[in-house]
Amino acid sequence: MNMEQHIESHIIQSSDDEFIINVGPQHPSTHGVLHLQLKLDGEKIVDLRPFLGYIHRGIEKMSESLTYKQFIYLTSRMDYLSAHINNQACCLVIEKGLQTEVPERAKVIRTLMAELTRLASHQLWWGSTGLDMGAVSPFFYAFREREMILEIFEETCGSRLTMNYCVPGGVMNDIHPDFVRKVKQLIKQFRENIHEYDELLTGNPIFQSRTQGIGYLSKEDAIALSCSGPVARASGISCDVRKKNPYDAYDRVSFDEIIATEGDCFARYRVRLEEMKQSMNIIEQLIDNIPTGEYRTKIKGIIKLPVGEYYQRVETARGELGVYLVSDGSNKPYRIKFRTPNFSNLGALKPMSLGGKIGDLVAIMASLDLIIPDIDR
Amino acid sequence: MSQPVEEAIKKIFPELTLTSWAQFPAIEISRDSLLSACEKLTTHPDLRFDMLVCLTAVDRTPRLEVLYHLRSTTHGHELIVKTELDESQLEIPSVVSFWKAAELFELEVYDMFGITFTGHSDLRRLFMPDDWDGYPLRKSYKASEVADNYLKSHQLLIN
Repeated sequence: MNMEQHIESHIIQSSDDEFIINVGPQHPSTHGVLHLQLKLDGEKIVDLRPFLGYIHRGIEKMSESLTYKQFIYLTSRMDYLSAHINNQACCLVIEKGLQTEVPERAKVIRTLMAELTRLASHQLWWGSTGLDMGAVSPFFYAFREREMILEIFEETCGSRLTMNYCVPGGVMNDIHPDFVRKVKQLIKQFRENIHEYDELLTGNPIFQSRTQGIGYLSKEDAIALSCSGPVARASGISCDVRKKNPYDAYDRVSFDEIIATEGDCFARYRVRLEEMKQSMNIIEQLIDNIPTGEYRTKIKGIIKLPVGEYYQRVETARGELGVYLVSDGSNKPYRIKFRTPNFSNLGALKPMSLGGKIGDLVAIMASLDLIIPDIDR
Repeated sequence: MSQPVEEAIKKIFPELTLTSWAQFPAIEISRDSLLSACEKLTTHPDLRFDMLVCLTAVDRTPRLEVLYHLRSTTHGHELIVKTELDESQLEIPSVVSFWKAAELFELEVYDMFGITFTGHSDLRRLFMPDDWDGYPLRKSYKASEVADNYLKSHQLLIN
C-alpha cells in the first residue's frame, strides 16, 4: 500500500457539506503524538476517530524477554509523569508473587515519593492547561514548585523524571539526609503559593467561559467507558484506588477523595487542583513519621515467580493502573498486561467533544490530561 | 449489604465452575454463550457488572484465552470472565453493546493477537501499520524477521 492509498483508506466517508480535518500527530495541544481525525459540519464536530501507534514501543512484548528486575524500568516510559507510581505497581505485583513483606520504612518512602510524583504531575498539567488556553504565565508559576520536587528526586534517586527508585523488596537506596527538610520546605512554600493558582486561572473569566459546561461526560458514560482517575471522579464516580484498595502506606493516612458531579472541563480542573492539596496532606502526615530500620529486604538475585496469575492496581496521577502478570515459573514474565488509565480515558474524548465546537477540543484534551506514551505503550 | 459475588454467580450460572484468577473469582464461558452470559452479567440485580475494566488475551499455544475483567460500581465486586479460543478459529462476538469501553479494548486485542471481534463496527489495526504482518503478542511471532521484511518491502532499510 502506498502513502496515498493509506491516507485514502483512513478518510472518513463524508458528504459535500462536511469535511475532514486532521489534528496531530504533531499538534501542540495533544502533548505528544496523538492523531485525531475530525469530521466537521461548519465548526461543529460530527465524528472523531483516534489513530494511535506513533509511539508504540511494544513494552508488553519487550517485557516478555526481560527478567522480573529488568522490565520495571520500561514502565517508567509509559506514563512518564507518574514514572515512580508505575514502578511501584510492578514492584508490588512481584512482591505479591514472592510473598515478600516490604519494610515499613520502604512503604512510607514509596508513598511519599508517589505523592510527590502526583504533585509534580498535576503541576505540569496545570501549567500546560493554561498554556493550551493561551495563558502563558501559569506555566512559569507551576514550574517554580515543580522544580523543587524534581530537585528532591534528583538528590535521592539520582534522576529527575524516570527515577527507577522502586525495586522489588523496597527502594533502591536510603533517602538523602536533606530529604525531610526539603520536603517540608516545599510543602510550606506550596501552601503559601497555591492561592496564586486560583487567582491566575480558576477565577479567570476567560478560562471559566472556556471550561464551564464544555466537554460534558455523564456518570453513565464514564462507567461504560471505564474511565478512572480525576476524569471519572469529576463525573461523580468514587474510584480512588488509594481509598478502595490501599497499598503501601495509604492505609495509615487520612485524606479526602475529591469528587465533583458536574462532569465538565471545569470540574476536572477543580478535582485535580483539590487533589494537590490532598497530596500535601498525605505528605505532611508521613514526613515526620518515617519509620527507622531497613529500606529494603534482601531478595534473591534471580527472581522466579510461582506459576500462576498476579494482579496489582495503583492510582497514578491519571487514574487506575492495573498490572496483570501471568507467570510460567521461569525468570521472565510469560505475559504482562498494563491496564493503563489513559487508554480507557481516551475513549471519553468522543462523547465529550461530539456536538461541540472544534475550538473546545483543545480545552477538552487539556482537561483529560492524556499522556500518549501511556496509551500506545 | 449485597451478597458475595461468588454466591450470586453460583446461583445465576449453576452450570459453570467457579475458579479464580489472581485474587478475583473467575468463570469460563464458551464463545457461543458469551453474549447471553454478558446479558445476565450486566442486567441481573445481584451482579450489575457495569464496567469493563480491562480486556486482554493470553497466548497459551495452541489455545488463546480472552479475559474480561468486570467490575460493578453499585456492588463493588469484581469478576474475571475467561473464554478459550482455538488457534484455528480466532473469532469471538464483540461486547461493545454491553460496555462501550470495549470499542478501544477490542481493537487492541485484535491488533496484538489477531482475534476477530464479530460485530465490531470499526475493526482496524490500532498500533501497528495497516499492512503489518503478524500479531506481535502471539508466541509464534518472530519480531526481527517481520520488522526486516516490512522495512525491505517499503524500501526503508538503511544499509
